[in-house]
Amino acid sequence: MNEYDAQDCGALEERTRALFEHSVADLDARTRSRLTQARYAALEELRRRRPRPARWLLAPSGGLLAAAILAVFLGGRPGSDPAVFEDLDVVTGPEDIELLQDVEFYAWLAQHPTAAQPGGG
Amino acid sequence: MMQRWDADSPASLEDVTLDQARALDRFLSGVEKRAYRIARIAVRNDDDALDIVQDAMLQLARHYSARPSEQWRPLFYRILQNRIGDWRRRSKFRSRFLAWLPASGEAGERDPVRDLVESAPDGAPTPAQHIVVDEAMRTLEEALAALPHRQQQAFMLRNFEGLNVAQTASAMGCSEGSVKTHYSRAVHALRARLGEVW
Repeated sequence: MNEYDAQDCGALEERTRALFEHSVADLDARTRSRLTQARYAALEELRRRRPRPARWLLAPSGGLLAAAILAVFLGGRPGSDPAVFEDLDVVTGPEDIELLQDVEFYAWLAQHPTAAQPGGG
Repeated sequence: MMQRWDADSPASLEDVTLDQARALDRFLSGVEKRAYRIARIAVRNDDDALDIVQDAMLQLARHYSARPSEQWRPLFYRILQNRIGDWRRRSKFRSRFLAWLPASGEAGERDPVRDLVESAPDGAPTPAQHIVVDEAMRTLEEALAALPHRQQQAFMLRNFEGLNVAQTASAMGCSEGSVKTHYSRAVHALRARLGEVW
Protein backbone atom coordinates (compact mmCIF):
# COMPACT_ATOMS: atom_id res chain seq x y z
CA MET A 1 0.00 0.00 0.00
CA ASN A 2 1.53 3.33 -1.02
CA GLU A 3 1.22 6.56 0.94
CA TYR A 4 -1.72 7.79 -1.12
CA ASP A 5 -3.62 4.55 -0.58
CA ALA A 6 -2.93 4.64 3.16
CA GLN A 7 -4.30 8.17 3.45
CA ASP A 8 -7.27 7.25 1.31
CA CYS A 9 -8.09 4.19 3.38
CA GLY A 10 -7.56 6.11 6.60
CA ALA A 11 -10.15 8.64 5.46
CA LEU A 12 -12.53 5.84 4.58
CA GLU A 13 -12.08 4.26 8.00
CA GLU A 14 -12.77 7.58 9.70
CA ARG A 15 -15.83 8.33 7.63
CA THR A 16 -17.38 4.90 8.02
CA ARG A 17 -16.72 5.02 11.77
CA ALA A 18 -18.40 8.43 12.03
CA LEU A 19 -21.41 7.15 10.09
CA PHE A 20 -21.66 4.14 12.34
CA GLU A 21 -21.51 6.28 15.48
CA HIS A 22 -24.21 8.51 14.02
CA SER A 23 -26.45 5.54 13.31
CA VAL A 24 -25.95 4.25 16.87
CA ALA A 25 -26.85 7.64 18.36
CA ASP A 26 -29.84 7.87 16.04
CA LEU A 27 -31.48 4.61 17.05
CA ASP A 28 -35.23 4.92 17.36
CA ALA A 29 -36.99 4.77 20.72
CA ARG A 30 -38.68 1.44 20.01
CA THR A 31 -35.40 -0.32 19.31
CA ARG A 32 -33.76 1.25 22.37
CA SER A 33 -36.66 0.09 24.50
CA ARG A 34 -36.44 -3.45 23.17
CA LEU A 35 -32.71 -3.49 23.83
CA THR A 36 -33.32 -2.37 27.40
CA GLN A 37 -35.86 -5.17 27.84
CA ALA A 38 -33.34 -7.64 26.44
CA ARG A 39 -30.74 -6.39 28.93
CA TYR A 40 -33.15 -6.77 31.84
CA ALA A 41 -33.89 -10.32 30.73
CA ALA A 42 -30.16 -11.08 30.76
CA LEU A 43 -29.77 -9.57 34.23
CA GLU A 44 -32.76 -11.56 35.44
CA GLU A 45 -30.98 -14.64 34.14
CA LEU A 46 -27.95 -13.67 36.23
CA ARG A 47 -30.15 -13.21 39.31
CA ARG A 48 -31.76 -16.62 38.84
CA ARG A 49 -28.35 -18.23 38.53
CA ARG A 50 -26.99 -16.50 41.64
CA PRO A 51 -24.93 -18.97 43.64
CA ARG A 52 -26.67 -20.24 46.77
CA PRO A 53 -24.71 -20.55 50.02
CA ALA A 54 -23.30 -24.06 50.22
CA ARG A 55 -24.85 -26.34 52.82
CA TRP A 56 -21.56 -26.70 54.63
CA LEU A 57 -21.61 -22.97 55.25
CA LEU A 58 -24.84 -23.44 57.16
CA ALA A 59 -23.38 -26.11 59.46
CA PRO A 60 -21.38 -23.76 61.74
CA SER A 61 -24.36 -21.47 62.21
CA GLY A 62 -26.47 -24.53 63.01
CA GLY A 63 -23.84 -25.60 65.50
CA LEU A 64 -23.86 -22.23 67.21
CA LEU A 65 -27.62 -22.32 67.46
CA ALA A 66 -27.56 -25.78 69.05
CA ALA A 67 -24.86 -24.65 71.45
CA ALA A 68 -26.91 -21.62 72.44
CA ILE A 69 -29.94 -23.84 73.13
CA LEU A 70 -27.76 -26.17 75.18
CA ALA A 71 -26.27 -23.28 77.14
CA VAL A 72 -29.73 -21.93 77.99
CA PHE A 73 -30.95 -25.41 78.90
CA LEU A 74 -28.01 -26.18 81.19
CA GLY A 75 -27.11 -22.70 82.37
CA GLY A 76 -30.28 -22.19 84.31
CA ARG A 77 -29.70 -25.26 86.52
CA PRO A 78 -28.01 -24.80 89.86
CA GLY A 79 -24.94 -26.91 90.22
CA SER A 80 -24.31 -27.29 86.51
CA ASP A 81 -20.93 -28.74 85.80
CA PRO A 82 -18.62 -26.03 84.32
CA ALA A 83 -16.78 -28.78 82.48
CA VAL A 84 -19.76 -29.16 80.23
CA PHE A 85 -19.34 -25.55 79.10
CA GLU A 86 -15.63 -26.05 78.59
CA ASP A 87 -16.58 -28.76 76.14
CA LEU A 88 -18.75 -26.39 74.15
CA ASP A 89 -15.89 -25.44 71.87
CA VAL A 90 -15.60 -29.13 70.99
CA VAL A 91 -19.33 -29.30 70.38
CA THR A 92 -19.43 -26.17 68.25
CA GLY A 93 -16.28 -26.94 66.32
CA PRO A 94 -16.63 -27.89 62.70
CA GLU A 95 -14.76 -31.16 63.18
CA ASP A 96 -17.70 -33.26 64.34
CA ILE A 97 -21.04 -31.75 63.51
CA GLU A 98 -22.80 -35.03 64.30
CA LEU A 99 -22.20 -34.37 68.00
CA LEU A 100 -24.79 -31.60 67.80
CA GLN A 101 -27.54 -33.84 66.66
CA ASP A 102 -28.39 -35.15 70.12
CA VAL A 103 -28.78 -32.25 72.50
CA GLU A 104 -30.78 -34.41 74.89
CA PHE A 105 -27.77 -36.64 75.42
CA TYR A 106 -25.72 -33.69 76.67
CA ALA A 107 -28.55 -32.70 78.97
CA TRP A 108 -28.58 -36.20 80.41
CA LEU A 109 -24.79 -36.08 80.73
CA ALA A 110 -25.06 -32.90 82.75
CA GLN A 111 -27.50 -34.58 85.14
CA HIS A 112 -25.26 -37.62 85.52
CA PRO A 113 -21.74 -36.21 85.85
CA THR A 114 -20.31 -39.53 87.00
CA ALA A 115 -21.20 -41.06 83.69
CA ALA A 116 -18.59 -38.88 82.10
CA GLN A 117 -15.84 -40.16 84.45
CA PRO A 118 -13.73 -43.11 83.34
CA GLY A 119 -15.27 -46.20 84.81
CA GLY A 120 -18.26 -44.20 85.93
CA GLY A 121 -20.67 -46.33 83.89
CA MET B 1 -32.35 -0.38 54.65
CA MET B 2 -31.24 0.41 51.14
CA GLN B 3 -28.38 -1.66 49.75
CA ARG B 4 -25.29 0.50 49.46
CA TRP B 5 -23.05 -0.20 46.50
CA ASP B 6 -19.34 -0.31 47.01
CA ALA B 7 -17.60 -1.81 44.01
CA ASP B 8 -14.18 -1.62 45.62
CA SER B 9 -14.86 -3.72 48.67
CA PRO B 10 -17.69 -6.19 48.35
CA ALA B 11 -18.36 -7.43 51.85
CA SER B 12 -20.20 -10.68 51.23
CA LEU B 13 -21.26 -13.21 48.65
CA GLU B 14 -24.46 -11.21 48.20
CA ASP B 15 -22.49 -8.02 47.65
CA VAL B 16 -20.26 -9.74 45.11
CA THR B 17 -23.32 -10.94 43.21
CA LEU B 18 -24.99 -7.54 43.29
CA ASP B 19 -21.81 -5.85 42.25
CA GLN B 20 -21.45 -8.33 39.41
CA ALA B 21 -25.00 -7.59 38.30
CA ARG B 22 -24.37 -3.88 38.35
CA ALA B 23 -21.14 -4.30 36.37
CA LEU B 24 -22.90 -6.49 33.81
CA ASP B 25 -25.73 -3.97 33.51
CA ARG B 26 -23.21 -1.21 32.90
CA PHE B 27 -21.35 -3.29 30.33
CA LEU B 28 -24.45 -4.36 28.43
CA SER B 29 -25.97 -0.89 28.39
CA GLY B 30 -22.69 0.34 26.91
CA VAL B 31 -22.57 -2.18 24.07
CA GLU B 32 -26.19 -3.02 23.29
CA LYS B 33 -26.86 -0.29 20.72
CA ARG B 34 -23.58 -0.82 18.93
CA ALA B 35 -24.10 -4.58 18.96
CA TYR B 36 -27.57 -4.11 17.53
CA ARG B 37 -26.26 -1.92 14.70
CA ILE B 38 -23.55 -4.47 13.90
CA ALA B 39 -26.07 -7.31 13.91
CA ARG B 40 -28.50 -5.21 11.85
CA ILE B 41 -25.87 -4.51 9.21
CA ALA B 42 -24.97 -8.21 9.10
CA VAL B 43 -28.49 -9.68 8.88
CA ARG B 44 -30.36 -6.67 7.45
CA ASN B 45 -33.46 -7.32 9.50
CA ASP B 46 -34.54 -5.43 12.64
CA ASP B 47 -36.23 -8.27 14.52
CA ASP B 48 -33.56 -10.82 13.73
CA ALA B 49 -30.88 -8.37 14.84
CA LEU B 50 -32.70 -7.80 18.14
CA ASP B 51 -33.08 -11.53 18.69
CA ILE B 52 -29.39 -12.04 18.05
CA VAL B 53 -28.36 -9.31 20.50
CA GLN B 54 -30.76 -10.56 23.17
CA ASP B 55 -29.43 -14.09 22.80
CA ALA B 56 -25.84 -12.85 23.04
CA MET B 57 -26.70 -10.96 26.24
CA LEU B 58 -28.36 -14.02 27.76
CA GLN B 59 -25.46 -16.27 26.86
CA LEU B 60 -22.97 -13.86 28.37
CA ALA B 61 -24.98 -13.61 31.61
CA ARG B 62 -25.55 -17.34 31.74
CA HIS B 63 -22.07 -18.62 31.01
CA TYR B 64 -19.49 -15.88 31.39
CA SER B 65 -20.71 -13.37 33.96
CA ALA B 66 -18.35 -14.84 36.56
CA ARG B 67 -15.36 -14.08 34.33
CA PRO B 68 -13.37 -10.88 34.95
CA SER B 69 -15.26 -7.98 33.39
CA GLU B 70 -12.35 -7.06 31.13
CA GLN B 71 -12.95 -10.35 29.30
CA TRP B 72 -16.62 -9.62 28.62
CA ARG B 73 -16.19 -7.47 25.53
CA PRO B 74 -14.36 -9.97 23.30
CA LEU B 75 -16.51 -12.79 24.72
CA PHE B 76 -19.70 -10.88 24.00
CA TYR B 77 -18.66 -10.10 20.45
CA ARG B 78 -17.61 -13.69 19.90
CA ILE B 79 -21.06 -14.86 20.97
CA LEU B 80 -22.65 -12.18 18.80
CA GLN B 81 -20.61 -13.22 15.77
CA ASN B 82 -21.46 -16.87 16.38
CA ARG B 83 -25.15 -16.01 16.48
CA ILE B 84 -24.83 -14.02 13.26
CA GLY B 85 -23.08 -17.03 11.72
CA ASP B 86 -25.95 -19.27 12.88
CA TRP B 87 -28.43 -16.87 11.34
CA ARG B 88 -26.58 -16.92 8.03
CA ARG B 89 -26.56 -20.70 7.96
CA ARG B 90 -30.28 -20.88 8.75
CA SER B 91 -31.00 -18.24 6.16
CA LYS B 92 -29.05 -20.13 3.52
CA PHE B 93 -30.88 -23.33 4.41
CA ARG B 94 -34.26 -21.59 4.15
CA SER B 95 -33.33 -20.13 0.78
CA ARG B 96 -32.38 -23.56 -0.52
CA PHE B 97 -35.52 -25.10 0.93
CA LEU B 98 -37.74 -22.41 -0.57
CA ALA B 99 -36.08 -22.88 -3.95
CA TRP B 100 -37.74 -26.30 -4.07
CA LEU B 101 -41.21 -24.82 -3.62
CA PRO B 102 -43.38 -24.17 -6.71
CA ALA B 103 -42.50 -20.84 -8.25
CA SER B 104 -45.01 -18.01 -8.06
CA GLY B 105 -45.66 -15.49 -10.86
CA GLU B 106 -42.84 -13.23 -9.72
CA ALA B 107 -40.42 -15.92 -8.72
CA GLY B 108 -36.83 -15.00 -9.32
CA GLU B 109 -37.48 -11.31 -8.97
CA ARG B 110 -37.82 -11.22 -5.18
CA ASP B 111 -35.91 -12.66 -2.25
CA PRO B 112 -38.01 -15.58 -0.90
CA VAL B 113 -36.56 -15.19 2.59
CA ARG B 114 -37.47 -11.54 2.67
CA ASP B 115 -40.95 -12.39 1.43
CA LEU B 116 -41.30 -14.90 4.24
CA VAL B 117 -40.26 -12.35 6.84
CA GLU B 118 -42.56 -9.70 5.47
CA SER B 119 -45.53 -12.04 5.40
CA ALA B 120 -45.02 -13.13 9.01
CA PRO B 121 -47.64 -11.90 11.50
CA ASP B 122 -45.20 -9.63 13.29
CA GLY B 123 -43.54 -8.45 10.08
CA ALA B 124 -45.60 -5.27 9.94
CA PRO B 125 -43.67 -2.11 9.22
CA THR B 126 -42.17 -0.66 12.39
CA PRO B 127 -41.56 2.97 13.21
CA ALA B 128 -37.90 2.25 12.64
CA GLN B 129 -38.67 1.16 9.09
CA HIS B 130 -40.46 4.42 8.47
CA ILE B 131 -37.52 6.54 9.48
CA VAL B 132 -35.60 7.81 6.53
CA VAL B 133 -32.18 6.21 6.66
CA ASP B 134 -29.25 8.40 5.94
CA GLU B 135 -28.26 7.82 2.35
CA ALA B 136 -24.59 7.51 3.10
CA MET B 137 -25.19 4.92 5.79
CA ARG B 138 -27.43 2.97 3.46
CA THR B 139 -24.73 3.01 0.81
CA LEU B 140 -22.20 1.86 3.38
CA GLU B 141 -24.48 -0.92 4.61
CA GLU B 142 -24.91 -2.17 1.07
CA ALA B 143 -21.17 -2.14 0.55
CA LEU B 144 -20.61 -3.98 3.81
CA ALA B 145 -23.28 -6.53 2.92
CA ALA B 146 -21.43 -7.27 -0.30
CA LEU B 147 -18.25 -8.17 1.57
CA PRO B 148 -17.38 -11.79 2.38
CA HIS B 149 -18.58 -12.60 5.89
CA ARG B 150 -15.14 -12.75 7.50
CA GLN B 151 -14.08 -9.44 5.97
CA GLN B 152 -17.31 -7.87 7.16
CA GLN B 153 -16.72 -9.21 10.68
CA ALA B 154 -13.14 -7.97 10.80
CA PHE B 155 -14.07 -4.53 9.52
CA MET B 156 -16.95 -3.99 11.93
CA LEU B 157 -15.16 -5.32 14.99
CA ARG B 158 -11.96 -3.41 14.30
CA ASN B 159 -13.28 -0.17 12.87
CA PHE B 160 -16.71 0.20 14.47
CA GLU B 161 -16.14 -1.50 17.80
CA GLY B 162 -12.52 -0.50 18.18
CA LEU B 163 -11.37 -3.96 19.22
CA ASN B 164 -7.64 -4.45 18.85
CA VAL B 165 -6.24 -7.21 16.67
CA ALA B 166 -5.96 -9.72 19.52
CA GLN B 167 -9.52 -9.04 20.74
CA THR B 168 -10.86 -9.26 17.19
CA ALA B 169 -9.05 -12.57 16.70
CA SER B 170 -10.64 -13.84 19.91
CA ALA B 171 -14.09 -12.65 18.84
CA MET B 172 -13.73 -14.17 15.37
CA GLY B 173 -12.07 -17.36 16.56
CA CYS B 174 -9.10 -17.04 14.23
CA SER B 175 -5.46 -15.97 14.28
CA GLU B 176 -4.29 -12.38 14.50
CA GLY B 177 -2.69 -12.76 11.06
CA SER B 178 -6.06 -13.73 9.60
CA VAL B 179 -7.65 -10.67 11.18
CA LYS B 180 -5.09 -8.40 9.56
CA THR B 181 -5.61 -10.04 6.18
CA HIS B 182 -9.42 -9.91 6.37
CA TYR B 183 -9.37 -6.32 7.56
CA SER B 184 -6.97 -5.12 4.88
CA ARG B 185 -9.01 -6.80 2.15
CA ALA B 186 -12.21 -5.34 3.56
CA VAL B 187 -10.83 -1.80 3.56
CA HIS B 188 -9.63 -2.10 -0.01
CA ALA B 189 -12.87 -3.70 -1.19
CA LEU B 190 -14.89 -0.91 0.41
CA ARG B 191 -12.57 1.69 -1.02
CA ALA B 192 -13.00 0.22 -4.48
CA ARG B 193 -16.77 0.08 -4.11
CA LEU B 194 -17.36 3.41 -2.41
CA GLY B 195 -14.60 5.35 -4.12
CA GLU B 196 -16.85 6.76 -6.79
CA VAL B 197 -19.37 8.25 -4.43
CA TRP B 198 -17.07 9.10 -1.50
